[in-house]
Amino acid sequence: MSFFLEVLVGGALAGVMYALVAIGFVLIYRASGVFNFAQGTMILFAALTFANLVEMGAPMSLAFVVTLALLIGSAFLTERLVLRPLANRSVITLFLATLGLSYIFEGVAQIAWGTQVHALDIGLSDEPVNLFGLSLSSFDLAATAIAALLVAGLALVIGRTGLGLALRAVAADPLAALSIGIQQERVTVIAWSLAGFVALVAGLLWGARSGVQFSLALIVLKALPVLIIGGFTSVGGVIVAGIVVGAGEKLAEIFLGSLIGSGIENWFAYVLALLFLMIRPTGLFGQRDLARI
Amino acid sequence: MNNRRSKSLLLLAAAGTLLTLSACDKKAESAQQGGETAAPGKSQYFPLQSYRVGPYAAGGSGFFGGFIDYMQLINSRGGVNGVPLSWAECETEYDVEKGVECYERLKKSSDGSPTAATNPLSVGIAYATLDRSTADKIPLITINHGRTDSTDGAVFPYVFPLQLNPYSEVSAIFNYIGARDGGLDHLRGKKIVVLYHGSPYGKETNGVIDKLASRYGATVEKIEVPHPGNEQQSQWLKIKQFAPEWVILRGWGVMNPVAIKTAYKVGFPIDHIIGNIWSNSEEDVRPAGDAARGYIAITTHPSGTNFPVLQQIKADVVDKGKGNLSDPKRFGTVYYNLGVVNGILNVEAVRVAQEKFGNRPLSGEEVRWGFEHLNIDAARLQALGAVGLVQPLKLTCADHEGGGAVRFQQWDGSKWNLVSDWVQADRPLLRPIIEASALQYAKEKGITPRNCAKES
Amino acid sequence: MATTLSFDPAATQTAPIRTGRRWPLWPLALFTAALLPFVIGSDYLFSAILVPLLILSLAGLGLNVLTGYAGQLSLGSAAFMAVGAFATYNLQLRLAGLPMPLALAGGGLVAAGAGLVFGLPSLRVKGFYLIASTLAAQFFIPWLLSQYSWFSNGNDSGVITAPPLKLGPLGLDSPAGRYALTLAIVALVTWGASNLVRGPAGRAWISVRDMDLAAAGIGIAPGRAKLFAFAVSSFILGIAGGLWAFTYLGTVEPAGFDLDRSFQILFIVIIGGLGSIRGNFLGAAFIVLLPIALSIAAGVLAGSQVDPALLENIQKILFGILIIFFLVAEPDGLTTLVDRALRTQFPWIGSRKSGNQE
Repeated sequence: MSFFLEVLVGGALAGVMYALVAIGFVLIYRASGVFNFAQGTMILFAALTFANLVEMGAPMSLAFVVTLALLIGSAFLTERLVLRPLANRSVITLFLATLGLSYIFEGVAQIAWGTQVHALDIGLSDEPVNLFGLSLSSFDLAATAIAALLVAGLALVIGRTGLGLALRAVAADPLAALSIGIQQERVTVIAWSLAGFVALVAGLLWGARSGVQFSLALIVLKALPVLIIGGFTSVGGVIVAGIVVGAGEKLAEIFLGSLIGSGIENWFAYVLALLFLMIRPTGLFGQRDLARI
Repeated sequence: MNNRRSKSLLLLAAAGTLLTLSACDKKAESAQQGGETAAPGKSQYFPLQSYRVGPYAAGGSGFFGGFIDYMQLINSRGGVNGVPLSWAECETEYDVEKGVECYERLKKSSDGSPTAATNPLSVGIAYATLDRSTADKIPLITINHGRTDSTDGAVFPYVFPLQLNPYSEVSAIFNYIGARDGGLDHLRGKKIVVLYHGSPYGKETNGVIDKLASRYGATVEKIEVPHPGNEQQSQWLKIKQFAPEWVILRGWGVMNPVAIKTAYKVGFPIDHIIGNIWSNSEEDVRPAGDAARGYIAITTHPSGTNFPVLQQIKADVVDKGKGNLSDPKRFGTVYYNLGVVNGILNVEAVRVAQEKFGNRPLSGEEVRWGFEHLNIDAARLQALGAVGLVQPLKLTCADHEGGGAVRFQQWDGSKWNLVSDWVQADRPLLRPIIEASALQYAKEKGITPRNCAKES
Repeated sequence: MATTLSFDPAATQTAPIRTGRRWPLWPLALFTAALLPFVIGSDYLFSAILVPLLILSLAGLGLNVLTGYAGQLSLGSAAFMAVGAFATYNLQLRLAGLPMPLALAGGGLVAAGAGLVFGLPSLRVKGFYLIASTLAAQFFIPWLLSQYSWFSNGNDSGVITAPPLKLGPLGLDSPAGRYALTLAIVALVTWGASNLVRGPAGRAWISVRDMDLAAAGIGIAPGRAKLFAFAVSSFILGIAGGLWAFTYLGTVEPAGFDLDRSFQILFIVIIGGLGSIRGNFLGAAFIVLLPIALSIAAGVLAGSQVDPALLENIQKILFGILIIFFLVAEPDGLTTLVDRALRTQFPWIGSRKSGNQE
């Protein structure tokens, strides 16, 4: 029984890390209506920049600030050069534009920092820790705590500040927001910068967990089902979905996998997402669309 | 968009297409390098389907760096009996499609020099270019990896899994485990887990692992890690529950450091994990940090720079500014040295072939003969400056592998230390399986196997 | 007006209806494709450029039927190609003496079945969320094919190698032979799809795409139309997959049909033009030729002194920029661009039908 619980809790903790990646998507989706596929390469770029700066001798706080500045800069550029010319285009066009953007991020990251694998030590060790008779990972527990802090921080910013209010206004009704003087461009840049911040945190945690190298960008594929289940517009939904996906995936791999073969983890999250969709076609906490002629 | 712009765009597109298509014929692509002083057509040409970008860039850049540096060394000594070496690179990103396109683009040199062999360092690309290579009569070299049944040269005359094929790898590891535990008969009842990468390379040995397990009476559980292997928590929790004595890691790329870290996370002893030939480099363990201390892996060649041939490369190539590595600290690492070893074997094949066919640029068919008659013994190793770096190797028509022995090394946190002598694979056990598989391939493809007994 | 998730390809089609006597373009194109490469006769042209170009065009056609005409977004095209490849292989292997074209068609039918299964959610889920279904296919199918070695005839690695290519007594194993077979099959399927799309099925798809509630109102059953689109699309993709295995690479592993490939096909469709037949060929040409052109240009301009990794990354960045530029500058795809250019420069070429249906 304790094995089952270990897998469940361990999976849930891993799922929080998926949700961390998905939160970046949600932020951008709410502000620009764009499904930003480049989030994965933004994570790679952030982690690579940070790891290399630290390796070059910079203290972690400086590396953090510099990386964040670079991400904010790229948010400006993205808004100016990609989003503005493509305003009012279809979802699929914007999605493909972010795909193109992800190629750009990837190329720039690899030119600037090379293609070698880097270890990343952010001061969190990864030891087995005994909690309530279950052996859990100290790193995952710390990561969950950090994610909780991040979500709380985001909730504060979005719920309590003027900035957050503007974000929510633009998400709810872009035209009305424009009409009262909220500048769409500024809000977009801020949303993308926030997403960049989230990408940086996610990049640090994932980089410390599995090393900083190219396949960090592939984490986005795990975040997709989390988004679909949680709904594209809700941070809370995405966290719940992340926990469900993470725990479900690991349990399926171990218990279902012994029946029908290993490697289930690859597709289980997507099939789960599909089943959820059949029950709730707009995700757990997503906005319901009314179809009209 | 107005008419003028659309017209010019159309003309531009048409021009671009025509240019591209015509350039294919003229082969003005990747500039050929090396053998700068040679007259056109008078060098021995090696097309390089290299990868320096993408998820496996670390392996590719190290390997091709070593290979090119070795060729530079040979050229600085006047080439192979006066014939300079030349090469051209094309980026495959470890992608099969690109590998095939690069093969077709580079298989003929741009100045008419004959092609010696291709070395794609990729199982997928090797599979896809196998038939083409054989039809084009260009040897396909898959050092330390490849299609296991291509060891049987009777069915695969143009494919060479030099030094070590996947079956030999696994068998050698079993033999080592047996030796560590006091003898192969002590394997009876022992629990072993094989953690493999979810790809053809990873799955290639599953059948032979079952055979070895039943032969020695060990209980083996095979667990797959879906590509790319960023997340292995469930696999290692399963391993913890199974509680084996040993874990054999058949990983690739990011799967390796993640495996080590996750093993540490769940509390599995690292010094009971044995990595295979593609889980054995510095790039595989460094990202795992302290968790990797004590990890064991096999190798066909040590890392380090304490070999005469490497010292020569350092003096005549790297120090003169012609080194291919962008990060000079990687000189002497496992992948770099593999590239050097590969270079030594390729060049040696050319030299052996020249003994029969003459000191001139040789065709693929002639170089193939050279590979099949490779006989590197202790004396030759001494002359090459590669004692301890390359294992003694003897190929024949029927045996395109030639070696099948590995050494075991252990990571101490900063470098690899050899912890065993040469451990041989159980080749007599494996040979019938290889032959059966090769015969099945021959049947599927309608190939008539050569009669190796008759050929010289 | 909340942020909606509607996928509205209808908004991208703006080409006007043309009248007047015109010469259709496709006979000229087919004639050139059937003759010119044999005149040039380059191995590289056949096996590394033309064959993948044709096969990817066919795959794009398959996806276009589903996404361009019927409006159902799909990110799983490569998975259906994989089904086709493995089904064709197994049919050829286990039914001795089955001619190659029949095996390909059989592979297509099996893929159509798979497409039907994964198309069922489209009856309930709409818009962007539908990618969940095709993504599930994209990850599940390669797993299935490599998990059970029955699909690859007991091969441990899960890799299948194609037997020698024969059409009756005619051996087609040369690059030219493979090209000829591919061209014939692609031309045939394109002709079939083109007729389908111009008939009642195509009109049903377009009305479902544009406004499925209204379509139901005039008596078209949207569910049936969607499922039919999934089936036809997967059939075409299955044939493309079979060709990929048999005439192009000669071998397939399930990983060769991964998400990247699906994205590639989606790019082909978007760049070529949604809801167009001709566009798929243009899109495939763009996708196949651009990296090669960049690589050759880099080799010519920079020579041997430049680090190949740097070159490769620059190409990647360039590709990304070009994609974005393309999406900004010509959202209706290459086919509209070409149409417009031809219309103004060569008014006597073009289809008699309205521009957005060729």
